[in-house]
Amino acid sequence: MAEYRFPKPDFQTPYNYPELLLPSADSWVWPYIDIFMLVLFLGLSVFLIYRKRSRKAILLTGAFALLYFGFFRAGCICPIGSIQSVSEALFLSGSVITISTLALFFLPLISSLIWGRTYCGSVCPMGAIQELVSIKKIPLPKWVSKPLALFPPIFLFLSVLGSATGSDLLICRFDPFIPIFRLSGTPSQIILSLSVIVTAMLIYRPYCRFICPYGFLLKITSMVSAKSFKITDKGCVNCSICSEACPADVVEKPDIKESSSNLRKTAIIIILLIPVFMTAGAFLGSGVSPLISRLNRDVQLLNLLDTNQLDNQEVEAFMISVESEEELRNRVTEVKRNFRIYSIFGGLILGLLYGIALLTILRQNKLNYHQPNRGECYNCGNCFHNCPVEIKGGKNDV
Amino acid sequence: MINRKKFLKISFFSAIGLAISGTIFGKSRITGRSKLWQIDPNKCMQCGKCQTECVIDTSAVKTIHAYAICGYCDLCSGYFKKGAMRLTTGAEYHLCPTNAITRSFVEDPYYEYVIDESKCIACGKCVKNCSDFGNGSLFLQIKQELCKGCNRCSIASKCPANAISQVSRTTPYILKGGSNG
Repeated sequence: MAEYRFPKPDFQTPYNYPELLLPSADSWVWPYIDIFMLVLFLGLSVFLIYRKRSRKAILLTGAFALLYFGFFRAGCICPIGSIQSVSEALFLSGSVITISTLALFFLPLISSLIWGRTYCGSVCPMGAIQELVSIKKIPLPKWVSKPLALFPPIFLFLSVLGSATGSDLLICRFDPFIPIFRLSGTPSQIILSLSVIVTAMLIYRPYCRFICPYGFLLKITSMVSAKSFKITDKGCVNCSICSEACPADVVEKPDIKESSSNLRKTAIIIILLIPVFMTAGAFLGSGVSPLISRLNRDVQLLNLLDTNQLDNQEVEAFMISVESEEELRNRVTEVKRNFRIYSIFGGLILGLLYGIALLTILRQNKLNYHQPNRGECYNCGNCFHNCPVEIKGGKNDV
Repeated sequence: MINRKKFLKISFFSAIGLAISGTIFGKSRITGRSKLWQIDPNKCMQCGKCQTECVIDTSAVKTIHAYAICGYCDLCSGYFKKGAMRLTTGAEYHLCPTNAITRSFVEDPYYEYVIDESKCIACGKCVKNCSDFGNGSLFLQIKQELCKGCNRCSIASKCPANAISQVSRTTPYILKGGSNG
């Protein structure tokens, strides 16, 4: 036992040391209740898209999901953030993940593999907020929306990298919705939140379309989903009203047949260029990895040491800790090496994805009816809500 | 209906999903119950970040008093400012900016110091002075009934001493020795 500066009091009169009040945490049951609610909402979302097909019901379900997952459970932890937990569990030694977080990550993806992105339409509280504030739906030209849509996979890569190296939780850092759910935040958080909300009032679902990293995962699973909903199964008359009504402009119309030999030539050129894209990506990754590695605290600390900023609190703490400068240097070299490897690998993958994305532009709609692009449709219900064939069939509440 | 191409694609993605889960399961990194955040009082530097970095407006961190270690001094260095002219309850002589410490007479020459958690903002001033000049019976700790249990504690990511880590739910509090009487 340590020697104390002042001796233990020698009380002459009877004295009782006060009791410490140490209440325990929230019940551990809550994450499992959340999973149950998630399954419930996911099941409901599939029913609403495939059976009930009512936009009002979709909006209402989204609002309830917002109330429960967003405000009641304070929006943490969400499937988007669970990407970070899964990355940590995969790559970071010493980290653990709970079953409930794993379920949170996989359940919407499994649902998307089978039925498509019904999660986005009626379950995600972030989507629900954007739907509820969406006043104007200013259409964006393709040359704006297509490049912007490249950001989610990049953000996904950076978040995985940040979590895998134990450097930073980027999705949480740039989460515009958490100040709304918590009704408090730092000034920069509030500014980000307000900017996204104001943008969402003018443009449809900006976070979903241009930022959400989980949405990218949902996109690739829903593109190959077992089932996909039809705008109408009563016989599409190709009036294109659904395409006009779609706020995200993702309804595909039957294509004018372009010469398939031309397409094949372009496809072959793109496929031959894929190794070029991948190499470019690898070089880019290698180039930016020193910059990205600065997310890591140890890298920042060593930088402070090397630039002699000795009056900094972190440096002070390091000086009195048991670790030597050499140990820190070795650790930082290891971290920077990891960043480099992950960045090169990520660059390769992103190059490959870029090539695949170019190929999908060439893909023709072989159908002779209107169909939403499965990867990009947010299952909002606007298409079948406005379809005249559906309305005439009496299935819609107008 | 599922044709062969779709079946292959679905299998591909399911395989990836299984690979991810398999890796996580295989490395035994799955835990049944989530963990709680706690400060290691021996590493804490009383830097003041506990007050400012918590996501909740008033921090989930509070000062706890390990009474068994306390010297019950008249001139308490955690209570009085340095150079306090008089040892009274006058606020101008106190370190605590929110008057969260109450001082009461026990017997000569011992005084009892109690933290009112509803007022404590976790600035750490009392803790710093107590550990620098006194017995160090005051320490900062995360209160589990207040803590939201974030995925990554934002105080933890800013703590210069890396003093915050996760503990299992069976031992929810790290305390300075002998503080439960």
